[in-house]
Amino acid sequence: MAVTGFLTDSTLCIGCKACEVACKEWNDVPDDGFVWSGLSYDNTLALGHSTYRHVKFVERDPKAGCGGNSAEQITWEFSSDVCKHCENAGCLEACPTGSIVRTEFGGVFVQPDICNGCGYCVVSCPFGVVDRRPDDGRAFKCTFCYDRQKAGESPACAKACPTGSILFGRLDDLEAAADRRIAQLHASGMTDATIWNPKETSVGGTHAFFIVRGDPRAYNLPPKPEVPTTLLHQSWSAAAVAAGAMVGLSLVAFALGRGAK
Amino acid sequence: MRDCMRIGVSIVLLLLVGIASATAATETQISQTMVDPSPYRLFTAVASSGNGYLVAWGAGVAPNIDVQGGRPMTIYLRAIGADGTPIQPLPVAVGTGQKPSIAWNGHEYLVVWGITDPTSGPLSTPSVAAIRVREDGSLIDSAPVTLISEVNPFSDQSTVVWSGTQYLVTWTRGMALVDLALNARRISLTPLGGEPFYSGTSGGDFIVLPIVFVGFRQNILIQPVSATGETKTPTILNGPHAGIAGVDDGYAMIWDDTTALYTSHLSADGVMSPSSPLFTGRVRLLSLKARDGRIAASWQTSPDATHISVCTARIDTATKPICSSGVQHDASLDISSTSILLAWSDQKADGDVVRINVTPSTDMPHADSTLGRSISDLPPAVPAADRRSDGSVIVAWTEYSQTSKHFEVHLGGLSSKGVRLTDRVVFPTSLDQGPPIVSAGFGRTIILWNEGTVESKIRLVIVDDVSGAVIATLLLGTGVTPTVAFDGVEWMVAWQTSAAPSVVRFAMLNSDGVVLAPGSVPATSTTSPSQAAPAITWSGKTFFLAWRESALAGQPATDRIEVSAVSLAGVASAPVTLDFADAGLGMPSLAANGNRLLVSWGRPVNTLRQAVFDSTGKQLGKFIDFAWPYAFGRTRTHAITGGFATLAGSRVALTSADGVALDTIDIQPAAGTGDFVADPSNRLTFIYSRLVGNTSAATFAQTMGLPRRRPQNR
Amino acid sequence: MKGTIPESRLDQIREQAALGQLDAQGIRPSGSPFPETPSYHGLPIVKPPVWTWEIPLYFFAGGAAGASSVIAIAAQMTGASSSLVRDARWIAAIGAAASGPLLVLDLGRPERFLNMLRVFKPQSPMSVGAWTLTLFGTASAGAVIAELLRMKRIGDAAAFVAALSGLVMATYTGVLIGATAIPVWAKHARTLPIHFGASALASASALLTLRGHDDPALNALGLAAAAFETYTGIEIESCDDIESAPLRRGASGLTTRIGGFFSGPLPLALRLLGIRSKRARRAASASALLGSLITRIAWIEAGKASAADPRPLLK
Repeated sequence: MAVTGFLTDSTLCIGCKACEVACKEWNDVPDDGFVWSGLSYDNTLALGHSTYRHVKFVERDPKAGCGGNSAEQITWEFSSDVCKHCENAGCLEACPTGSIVRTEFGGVFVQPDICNGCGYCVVSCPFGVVDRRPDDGRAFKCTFCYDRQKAGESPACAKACPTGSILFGRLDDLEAAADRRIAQLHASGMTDATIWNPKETSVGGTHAFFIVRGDPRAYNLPPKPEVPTTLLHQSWSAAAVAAGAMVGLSLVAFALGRGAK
Repeated sequence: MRDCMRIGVSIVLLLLVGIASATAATETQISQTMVDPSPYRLFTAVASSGNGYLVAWGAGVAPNIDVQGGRPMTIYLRAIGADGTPIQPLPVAVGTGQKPSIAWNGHEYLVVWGITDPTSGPLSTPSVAAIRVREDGSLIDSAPVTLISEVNPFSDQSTVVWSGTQYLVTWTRGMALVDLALNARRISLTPLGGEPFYSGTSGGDFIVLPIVFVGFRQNILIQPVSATGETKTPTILNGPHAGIAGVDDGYAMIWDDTTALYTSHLSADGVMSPSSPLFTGRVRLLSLKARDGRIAASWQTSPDATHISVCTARIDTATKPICSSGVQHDASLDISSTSILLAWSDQKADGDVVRINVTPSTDMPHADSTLGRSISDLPPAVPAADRRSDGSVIVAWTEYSQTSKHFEVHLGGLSSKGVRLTDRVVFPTSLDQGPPIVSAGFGRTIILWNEGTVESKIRLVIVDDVSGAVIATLLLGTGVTPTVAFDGVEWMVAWQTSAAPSVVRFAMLNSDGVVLAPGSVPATSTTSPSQAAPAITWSGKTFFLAWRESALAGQPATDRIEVSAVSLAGVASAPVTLDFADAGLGMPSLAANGNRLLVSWGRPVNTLRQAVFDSTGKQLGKFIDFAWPYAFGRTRTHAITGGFATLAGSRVALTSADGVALDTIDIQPAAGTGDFVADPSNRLTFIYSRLVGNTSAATFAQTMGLPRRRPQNR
Repeated sequence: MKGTIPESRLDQIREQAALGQLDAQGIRPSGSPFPETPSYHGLPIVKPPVWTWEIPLYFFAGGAAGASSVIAIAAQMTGASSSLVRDARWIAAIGAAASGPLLVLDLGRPERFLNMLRVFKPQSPMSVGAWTLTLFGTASAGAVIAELLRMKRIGDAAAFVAALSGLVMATYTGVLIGATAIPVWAKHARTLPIHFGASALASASALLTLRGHDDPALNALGLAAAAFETYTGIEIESCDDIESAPLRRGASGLTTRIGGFFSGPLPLALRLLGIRSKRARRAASASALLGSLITRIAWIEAGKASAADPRPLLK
């Protein structure tokens, strides 16, 4: 089986939210409440236990390739956020029950029959993707449509995307396609187009990577995400120091105290 | 004095008119200019016969491919000579799928590709397709052959190599040994499995390089496979990409470890020698070929966001890699006995162009958008034309609609004064409509085309000439290459069925679209050969049907041209074999002029052969042969005043009604890709599609008169 | 209005603005001269912890239990009073017994608590903790049961195992929250285990003191812990990085300071000034216990506040 991935090309996204709808319908994801956020047209607000695809609305002044109805009006860039399916996934490393595993397609998958809702994955994801569903108790996130991939289909969001903004395929092919797309965008004058795929951080690259225009931070894509396991060495070393101090101090205290008696 | 001047002036005028009409070759555009629906070209593949090359690539509608879902790419082929000059005037579309791969078996090329049409459910569907191609680029199989059928095709990566006695075909789920008759015997991968991605052959055995994921990093297995299909224990290579080519003492190999590219050598049973570095950087899409001690490699790297480079190097002479400086991608190469050909995709703002660069085999070609030539020039579809009795020309062609995202057949043309007629869509459906043919009736016109790309059916539509309303439409069976002729009252339609062995079927229809007499052509031999490429004309007394028959794969090769007379009741006479050859007979065409009938076809080597019949079907005289400067597949024959004109490639052969070869005229290569009509004063109007700019195309008409020259024989 | 903020605040504003990291509350009009990190509508990136009150209580109880088992061994090995040793072992066992249900109750699916023991993943501090609690719980219970059954050797062996695993119990919770994606926790990944270990030691010795064992060793340990907590408090107050802001600002900042006060300066002062007063020592112990619990609550609250701020991750 091939390692597959998502290339989300934000320059093609029209903000239609077909990906959100298709994902929710296929995976039977509950609604997240009907709230008006007041933040542009984004009422979904974030990925979480009941949102596996989240379309972001970034308001911009019009520029080449990002037009609006008129030059004076604000326009948008849209981008569909998703679980990054990290090469080194914080949630996977943190899960104590072994519920979160890597599938044969390279995606990160929460096995719902094992998860007991300890919530440790929730604080271990550098992108804030996975969350615990309150009424259910377990942790949920994008499954990479594991059931569809096993049947040889593409994920629901990729199938529903009308513009080809969400591309699904072999990871190697997607990286080649991203290179070609960036070259094409640069040649068309959109020189701020960039690939966001944090390969040089401890996350080691994400299987869902993005083409965005301008600063990725405007899309809440962190520039240097780290998988929290990089902190284990220093933290356990400190614990060892603490343990040694506890033993040492206790022994000394009692020995001296005995001596004082 | 005045009379002399008058005569002189009129002679001059006549001459001028003559010259003018001979040279008046202005184009009239008869369709909208449409943007190339498949302007993105990827996945080039090259193989060499030793004397020349065959280049293949995929063309798609979008720059990125959705592996499952979305429109699959169209596979194109073009044959190139050893010096880099294309043998065929234009690329040929052979099927839909992904990532072609080619092997030469000493006699013909086998082009193999994967199919990823989105299907779901438990049924097997075609997954790996192949087509056999001659050295000159003409197709042996008229439609792709399914080699492998799997449930849920995910076969976007296939390779083929020829060991000397058999092919090894690999695809993402497995591999198979394939014989010359294209029977595939599946062989199993080892338990380590993997997805076969690269393959090579040496000494009759093979090495397959599947990709496996070790800790979810892509690595390569070196998997020897014997000629009998036994797989030996594989070894792992710590890198995601490789290229392999057979050499005398085993295999040459290039591979990368995500930071650099290395060259190495494998023994015949897969033992790897130490590697030496070749290039530093992240690479992909490696291609390696070897012949007679020459080893050449190409690969792709992305130096920065604005550039993608194709780099090439000679391994045997250890040349320094040269990388391109623009946006070039998807390169491949092969080596002939005298030269090396590099093909790549050169990216423009709105599409790609496939370019080739050929150097002598002492050198090494590199990629550059100013070097070599472009070979992917492509008109989108082959138009068809017919002449109405009022002198107007009706033209049917396929156009890609940006609104419906489908190919649709348009009907338009030129008025009798040569003014463009407004075109309209004939009968939009939800499926893609393929290249049409057209025939003018009395007040009505019949148009036929292929509908749908999978299990394509032939659709027939009869429209009223004045209102454009659709009188009748029906779907004939699954089939390809329809042809039609009008006898003054009714039409006869013929086509070839899709399932192998293909059979030619026909039907008579009245102008209301009622089918009067369906039938099929009787088999000529007991070994049920494959009938293909029918052509019909009305002789004045009866319909004449000509077609080509080939032996089925695996049997002694014979090609034949057959003719049969079909009565109005739909009864076909016993076929008569006009011509035969071991292989290489082209698609016939025929026309009637008064009480004479001319059948034309191509035959090896580079010859146009014709035969003349009287209206009862008796052949008059022997064959008329024209030497042709290149190979061609298809011919178009029409009656002109005094005889016949036959178009093949970009040359027209003129034959008198009595069967005397008169002359040949060369026209612009693009102008010969469609059809032509003749008016009573022997002005030929060529109808063709051609590129406008890089990625747009339109259908044009160009009229020229025939120059007056003395008749010439061969 | 003039005089409502000190001049030093203006200096601070200027220094922070120069670094592009102005830490201010209030409305930021778009186009304002405040240097602003681009973010998506200021929405958070990482998710806050979903844990409820059981977890900080477990940190407190489990830590105290673990440290208590260490004190038990140290006391036993140096020949301290056997009742001290016995009480220390009992505190460890009771604490362990309370820890289990606390953790199970916090789970989203409590009935599946045994899945924690499906695998052992050393790279997951929670997996290490689950197994450590299992071992510690068994050993500490074994120690007291063996004592009840008068099986001294088995009891001593169990107590030794309890102490070893108790060392992990007392410190691993610092690793648990340190090795996460929450900025304030991750920033202090190196100090949290030591902090929690000291806090656990303080709690254990405080419990034993309040139980009646007025041992100078316990006082020394309490003093050392209080001194360390005071030092930690000063360190937190002097952290001016944006990740540590929740430790000084808002509700979580207040809780941190309260917890720090009860853990550090108060017991330190009480123990130093009332060096001869048993009542002072008892008061210091009570303060240390309260401070230990509040400190754990504060760190969880700081984590929630830290998750709500995307700026540290967008640097």
